Amino acid sequence: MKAPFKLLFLFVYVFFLAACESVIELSLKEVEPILVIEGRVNDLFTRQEVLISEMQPFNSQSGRVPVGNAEVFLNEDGKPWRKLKEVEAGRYIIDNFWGRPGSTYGIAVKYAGETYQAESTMPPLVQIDSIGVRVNSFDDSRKTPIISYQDPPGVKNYYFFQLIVNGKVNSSVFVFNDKYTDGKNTVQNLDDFSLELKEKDDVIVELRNIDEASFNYWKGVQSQNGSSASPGNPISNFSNGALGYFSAYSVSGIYFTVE
Amino acid sequence: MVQKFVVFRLVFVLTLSLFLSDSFGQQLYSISGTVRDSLSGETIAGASIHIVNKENTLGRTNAYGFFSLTTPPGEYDLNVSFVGYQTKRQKLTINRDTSMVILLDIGNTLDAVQINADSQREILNSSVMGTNKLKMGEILKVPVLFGEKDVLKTIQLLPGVISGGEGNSGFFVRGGAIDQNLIILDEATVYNASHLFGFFSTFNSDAIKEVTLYKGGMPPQYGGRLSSVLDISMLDGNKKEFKAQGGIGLIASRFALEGPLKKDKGSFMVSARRTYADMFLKLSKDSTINNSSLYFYDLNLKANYQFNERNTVYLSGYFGKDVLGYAKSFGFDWGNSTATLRWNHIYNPRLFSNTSLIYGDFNYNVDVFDNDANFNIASLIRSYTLKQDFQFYAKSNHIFRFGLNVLKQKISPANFISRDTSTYSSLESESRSGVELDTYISHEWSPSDRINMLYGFRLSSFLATGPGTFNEYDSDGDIVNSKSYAGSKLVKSYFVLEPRFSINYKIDPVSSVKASYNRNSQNLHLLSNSTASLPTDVWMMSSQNIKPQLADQGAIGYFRTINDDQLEFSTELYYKDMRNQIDFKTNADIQANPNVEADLIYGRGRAYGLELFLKKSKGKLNGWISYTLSRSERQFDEINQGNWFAARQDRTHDLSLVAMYQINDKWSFSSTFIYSTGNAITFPSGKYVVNEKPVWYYSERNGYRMPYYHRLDLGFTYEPKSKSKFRSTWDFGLYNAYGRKNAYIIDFRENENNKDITEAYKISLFGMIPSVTWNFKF
Repeated sequence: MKAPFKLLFLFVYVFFLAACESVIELSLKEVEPILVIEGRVNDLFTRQEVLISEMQPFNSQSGRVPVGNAEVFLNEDGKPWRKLKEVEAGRYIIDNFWGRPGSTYGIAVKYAGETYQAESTMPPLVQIDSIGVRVNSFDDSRKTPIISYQDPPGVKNYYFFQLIVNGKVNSSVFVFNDKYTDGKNTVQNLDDFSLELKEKDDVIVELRNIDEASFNYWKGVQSQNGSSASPGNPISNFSNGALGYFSAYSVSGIYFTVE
Repeated sequence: MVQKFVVFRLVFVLTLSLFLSDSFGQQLYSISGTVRDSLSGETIAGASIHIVNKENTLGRTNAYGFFSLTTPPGEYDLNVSFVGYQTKRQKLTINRDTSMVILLDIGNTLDAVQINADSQREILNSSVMGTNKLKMGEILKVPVLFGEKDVLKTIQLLPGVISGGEGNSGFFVRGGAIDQNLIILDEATVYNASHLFGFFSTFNSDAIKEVTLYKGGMPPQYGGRLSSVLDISMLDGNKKEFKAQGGIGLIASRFALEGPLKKDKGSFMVSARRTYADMFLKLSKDSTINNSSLYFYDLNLKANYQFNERNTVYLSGYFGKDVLGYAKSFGFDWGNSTATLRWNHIYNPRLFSNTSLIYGDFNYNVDVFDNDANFNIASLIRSYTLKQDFQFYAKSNHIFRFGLNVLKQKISPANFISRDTSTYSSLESESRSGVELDTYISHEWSPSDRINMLYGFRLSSFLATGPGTFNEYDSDGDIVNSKSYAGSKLVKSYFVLEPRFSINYKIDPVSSVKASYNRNSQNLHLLSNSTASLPTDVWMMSSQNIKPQLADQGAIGYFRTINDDQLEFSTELYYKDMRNQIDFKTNADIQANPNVEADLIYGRGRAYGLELFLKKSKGKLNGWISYTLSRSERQFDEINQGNWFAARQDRTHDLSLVAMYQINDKWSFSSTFIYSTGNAITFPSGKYVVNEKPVWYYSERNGYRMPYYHRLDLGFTYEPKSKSKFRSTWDFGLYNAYGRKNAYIIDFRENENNKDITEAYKISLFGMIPSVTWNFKF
């Protein structure tokens, strides 16, 4: 659905505008740091992980600022809370905790006297059927993965594709719903301007079946670009004003090498 | 009840006395007729007709060149004048109702923009304020991007009007939104007045006669939008002889032909324009590129025929389209069409009637042909309108204007139709229908030599009708009530009474003060969530959830002419209160969403400002300086904790300088300079990382500013001497003469070398862009 609009912009940029780009200095307002929680529960591993960090001023030159000494708990379907242990600053894990589709998971984080909570229900698994590589029709040196899967009819499904290229987590966000593809054998082209695949690249594609709140969160992340008239913050499902997300998802993965 | 009766009786007595005053006293006769250009036979709207040495008998021709005055029998000197024409003085003996055609000779070509003293004073005599009129002569002289002369870009140089963006034909008037401007071409609504994402307007300057912009104090015959009315009229066509004109430019070529259908009785005009950017694509060796298309065209047609003194029929039409195509895999086109059939009928010298049947539409089509993505997206908005307008010139020189508008509108939102091989499923949205039913009445009179006033009201009603399923939503966006309506059953109706009032008090022969108040309502809303205006933006009508937008505007102004009418100065102060303004929830899904109304939020707006305008229209040096100091703010409970915030188009300072200089009889020079505060914009204040991706944190809506904008454009026109009828001119232009890199977009990203560093970058569109156009006329 986005494709025609992307093409359209490409047209404008390539043929029409002698656009020019330059880095500028902006003085941006300082804001109070806010807690950022990234919690995930999947059905692939028995170890689950929660990352806690702090928001920083835009002009700061450091990467993630981890937050240690928080107390983090997970539970499943209202069963007793289980505490995670901090293995390095800001990284909390739990072993022998295996997500199951259909179950609802809860997270609670206690930090500096405040408690932050969220819930997420793991959607049923949709498998990747096949994978291929598509040569971009505008630029034949660009190759992008295409994935096919069978969308279950009559229910709302939300898909998040995570690419891992040569062992590195790729930062492109690919999220889709089945608004136009309900019940269809769906083909998705994972095309993103920041994604550059080369020959011999080892690529893992993970199809994560996410819930609606996570979908909205990633949509919010995706829409943060200069062409939006009213960019906003992605809506977090955490209580008490924490940023980030808590998402329970089922995973289907596939591996290939670019030729 | 008693009070109501008193008011009713007062109105009744007042009205009666106005009509009765006609029948008492001495015998009165009417002088009526039409004012026309002596060479082409085109009617002249807004010409002033003044009976010399008789105060208080200043008449003006209406949009069809008609006027009517009343006077006792006697001998008079009639003074008829209009901008750019030689004033005509005519001796008259009035002993019965007199009807005439007055022909005006165009002013000396060398001083084509010379303005006549009397008509200049129109700004002092008319009660209308917040209004700017542009003649094509002025528009053609202003240098613009790629040399494509453009009405919509020229009005952006007027006070209270700001540009929609670099090189953009979209505009904001007095703090309102782009969709709050009513743009009408020969009375027909042009839904999307731009080509190629706003870089050009749909108005081909060859086909246009004149342009009037109402920013406030709109007379009651206009309605339907909050901010402004841009009334564009097409040329009627030369009634005397055949004429052709055209031009070859950097971007487009134009050709226009006009001439009599029957001499002095009827005429026609045809004008066409097409761009040829895609011709350059053809030069490419790459087969996908040379099979691509990228162009737009415009076609304007008009014909009129005067059956007799009392009946004239006009037919006008416009068709325009943009076409984008990429080889055989992608096609995108969009365009407007309009058609207007008008019948002018003069019942008697005092009663002028116009009946219009109007059609207007805008549609777009996206086609993607690909094995697994093979689909079409199509959308259409269409309206049919019947307008009946009467102008009654009472004997006491009161002018009454009243009428009725019936508009039937249908919107078919983006339908997503998948074709056989596609892996997508079709998604069709219901069409929406509505009827706008408006009546209005106004009364214009001069209670004394110094005072001129126009007041009245417009009763606007909107009926949302079936067929379709209509949902009501709560604040969470969940459906609380869903009901199906068959046929054209009424779903929801809205009535708004819109009072309009303006008054002019002439302090002395060279200056006047004016005040106005107007209320406007709007039942058609354009949802756009990007900084660029796209043809795919979504049109919505008022519904159970969307209430009509309302605006109340008050303004006061001071007008004067300086140095024997060499200069014209005006200043206006306005305040506008807007209700039921529309914005979006975070992550609103606007495209092909049957529940899009669940993603909308509603709030208030206010805009106020000071406008200064100094214009020189005599002599070799012409032009104007326009400055606006203004604020435009919005308030939504869901945004910025309910605090007021600056609207995107809030620009504190906006300055335009326009200068045109006739160097000698061959060369003329023109130049514009623009300076304005940057748009209000939302920038991030913080950042964090999720899933290895940087995410920005925004602390408030529109809390930052784009850098200020300035630009200088230059133009030269060379007109070689010609002995034959064939005349040609060369226009040379330089857009952005000192190559200022104004920011079009500011965006944020990670530094390529160090992901921990985030940086801001700007994209600027146009550097220095030279242009050349060759124009001809014969």
